[in-house]
Amino acid sequence: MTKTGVDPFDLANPWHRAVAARDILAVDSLALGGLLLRARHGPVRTRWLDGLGDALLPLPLRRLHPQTPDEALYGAIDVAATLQAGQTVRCSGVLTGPPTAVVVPMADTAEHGFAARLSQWLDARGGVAIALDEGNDPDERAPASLMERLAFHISLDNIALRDIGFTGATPDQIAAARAALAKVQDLDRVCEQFVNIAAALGINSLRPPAMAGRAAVAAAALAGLPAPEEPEIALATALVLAPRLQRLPEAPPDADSEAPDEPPAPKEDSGTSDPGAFDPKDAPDEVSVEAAMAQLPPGLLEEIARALSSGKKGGRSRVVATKAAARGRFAPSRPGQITAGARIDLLATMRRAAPWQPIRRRTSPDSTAPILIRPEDIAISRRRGRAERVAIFAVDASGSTAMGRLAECKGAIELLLAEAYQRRDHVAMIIFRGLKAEVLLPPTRSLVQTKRRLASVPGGGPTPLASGLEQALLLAEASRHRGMDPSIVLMTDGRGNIALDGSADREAALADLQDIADAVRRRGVPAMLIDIARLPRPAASALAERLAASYLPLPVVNARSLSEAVQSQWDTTH
Amino acid sequence: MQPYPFSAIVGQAEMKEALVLTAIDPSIGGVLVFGDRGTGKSTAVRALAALLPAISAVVGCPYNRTADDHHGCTCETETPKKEEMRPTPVVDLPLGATEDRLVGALDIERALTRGEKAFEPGLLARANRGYLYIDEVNLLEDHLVDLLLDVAASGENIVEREGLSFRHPAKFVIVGSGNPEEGELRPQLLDRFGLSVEVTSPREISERVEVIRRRNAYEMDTRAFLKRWRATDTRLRNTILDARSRLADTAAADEVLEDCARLCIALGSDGLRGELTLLRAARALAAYDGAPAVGREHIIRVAPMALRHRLRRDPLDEAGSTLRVRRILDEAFAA
Repeated sequence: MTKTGVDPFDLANPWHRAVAARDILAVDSLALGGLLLRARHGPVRTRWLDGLGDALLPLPLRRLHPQTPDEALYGAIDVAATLQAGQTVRCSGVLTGPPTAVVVPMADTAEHGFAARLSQWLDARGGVAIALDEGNDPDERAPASLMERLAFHISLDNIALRDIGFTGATPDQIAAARAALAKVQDLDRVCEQFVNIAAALGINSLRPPAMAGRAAVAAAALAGLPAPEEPEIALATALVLAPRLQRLPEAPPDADSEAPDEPPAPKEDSGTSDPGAFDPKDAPDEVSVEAAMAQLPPGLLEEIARALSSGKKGGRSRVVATKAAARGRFAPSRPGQITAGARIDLLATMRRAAPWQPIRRRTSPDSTAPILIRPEDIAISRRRGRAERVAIFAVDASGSTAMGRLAECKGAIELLLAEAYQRRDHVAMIIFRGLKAEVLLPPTRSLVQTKRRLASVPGGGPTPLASGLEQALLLAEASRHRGMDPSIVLMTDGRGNIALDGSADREAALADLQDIADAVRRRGVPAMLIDIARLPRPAASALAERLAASYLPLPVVNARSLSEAVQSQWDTTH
Repeated sequence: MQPYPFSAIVGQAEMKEALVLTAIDPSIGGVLVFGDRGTGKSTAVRALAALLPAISAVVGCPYNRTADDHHGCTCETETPKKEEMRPTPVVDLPLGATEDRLVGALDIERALTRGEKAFEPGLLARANRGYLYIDEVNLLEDHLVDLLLDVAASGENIVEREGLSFRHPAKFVIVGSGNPEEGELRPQLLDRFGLSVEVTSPREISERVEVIRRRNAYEMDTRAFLKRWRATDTRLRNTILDARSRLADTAAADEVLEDCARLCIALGSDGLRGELTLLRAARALAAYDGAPAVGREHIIRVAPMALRHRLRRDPLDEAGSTLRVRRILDEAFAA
């Protein structure tokens, strides 16, 4: 293959892929929307970002923090300057001006509102967004609506400093590729191929294959080719489709030809089985899918699948930590700056300005304004909001309970969930059985997800009670961090037999449990213990005492009175 | 950029039909579109606006009012008699918009620079006589959704705050879209949307390819693509206009009313809202089909979208509501 374009890159090398993504994005920026960069702050990321500004020229590069107020996004009058000048002074908005490239730091902390504004802007081809996801916590991802619109999702994890020599295309080469873009053929043909590949990977949305098509064409332009060839298709697959993988294709390319009958299940159940999901058996054109898979670096898909299943709680259902200030009762206003969402308390502002009028009149006799208001007079009205509540269910699905009570337990949970739903509380669920606890459901309001996950809970195995409580505590802390108000509902028979380190040591298990119970109590997380043993024993009530939790034995409560009890518990603790 | 042509949208028949019905009779109420990402929800809404005929409004009036209706309008236009044509408004309501931005607020600029008390119209004013589109409506703050639905139902936006007392007409169709995986609407809000449709990505590979092919054609050469679809869009627009003019004359016999009532009782949907919407949607469909009167077939066709979100539901019931509506349709009309 003869190429007249830039240095060829090595698809198996993650740094090369990251640089290639940057260059391709630069060639067809507006159509590709942008890029999600998952990387910690550090020299590798800095190196990648260093090349960005030059590559994207002539688009100006601006930083846009997720907390940027609307005034800065859309432009508004500059109140302070207006007051000073006595005539309207406007500041222009980032999203209303000419096409721009924005770098969004800490995109994982972005709220849905910000993501929605950026998405609108991207849909209108207003510019290109580079979202930086610092990614400390797999549960914290940029909002899905934004991720959906960014063609490339790349990660710089595990790239060493010595590996970052490759610099990719020069600005001149990128400019040449832009000029050649319109002449590249076969967009429709490669798109068709990407539709097949996307279907094989279980990707439902149609945006990714369309974006992959544009990426392959841009890559071909960059390589100086008249049409995308296999390497370009493989590259676009690796950069656009592979990160969105929902399941592994039927026959992994590097496996032997005798594919196992059972399709690999990267994730037991996290939303892939929806009715719109694609049945790969009848449709995708297997030849083209296999050809593309064969080009991918070995192990890439498996790696992503693994990352997905370990962090599968993330991404889909990031919780909105709503600004409590937007609702609730009014609290006394206070002096402040005018920012997004702030409401001026006009009366208070006037009141603060009133005493100064004679003096100000004297100092500025020329002013014709009826009242002379200075920025320092501005009073902002505040509201006292109610934090959103989240009920964390930690459910014992071990053998000791699974036999008799798991079904009843599920019934009770469903009822509690339904009520939590009506109250608009968030619900999270942790299941513990076997050696470890697992967060089955991160805080969410979605019933669809909840019931799906709940139905698939298996029972059996030993009881890692300490681990279950630990997870509940971690989740409670994380929720508090996001401004929510957590409470723990622990459903167990109180007989843990697995220690935190996974060993089957009853003594250690008890010691761990007591430590964590103390931690829960110290942090003041309201808890409630529902004893689901057939014959309640002192273990559970002792644990409840240690947790400072209220204690409810399930045998004496039916599902209805149980949910009432939980409700009243909530009302007294909040 | 010119919006994508409505007729060029591949598949998604139910969503398109629901949107067309509200274009024929806006009193049907809003449309709720629930489904996966990347299925063309926003494309369809924006396309619809471009499809609909331009409206005539007083020059410079931010409320899109006509000259006849302009009496008492506070927009201070200098030519209250002169009208201009503008496209049917489709206003995007971004998540996290403040209440002020939505309903309007004191015009700070004028208050500060000229010391005047004036009203700065919000998004609801701009949406008058058009559509208000809310992507991810399920993530919108509850108090805003309440407020929106109130205004949509009354057709008037009343602002009383900060010593400001103001009202203006706000008649618009709300189109809300969202992904139920990320949170749901409260049942009491669901019920206030007129129609609800569920969209999924097309199942056929060939259909998916066609979607992308058309999108590419549109992006690569927008003008040629629009030209290719102009005739089809114009035909659809004329059908909608014809249907609008026929709407008042499209009769609904007593049996049809009975059918509606029977269906709603069988479904156990509360209140009369479901029945009314069902009838209105069926009438709009009949007018669209050019039928002289509403028939049972019209009711059967619109019943799923008019009723599926009104079922008194067990929030953890597995069976899809569409299925339940179909089952009851079969039972009710079996004889």
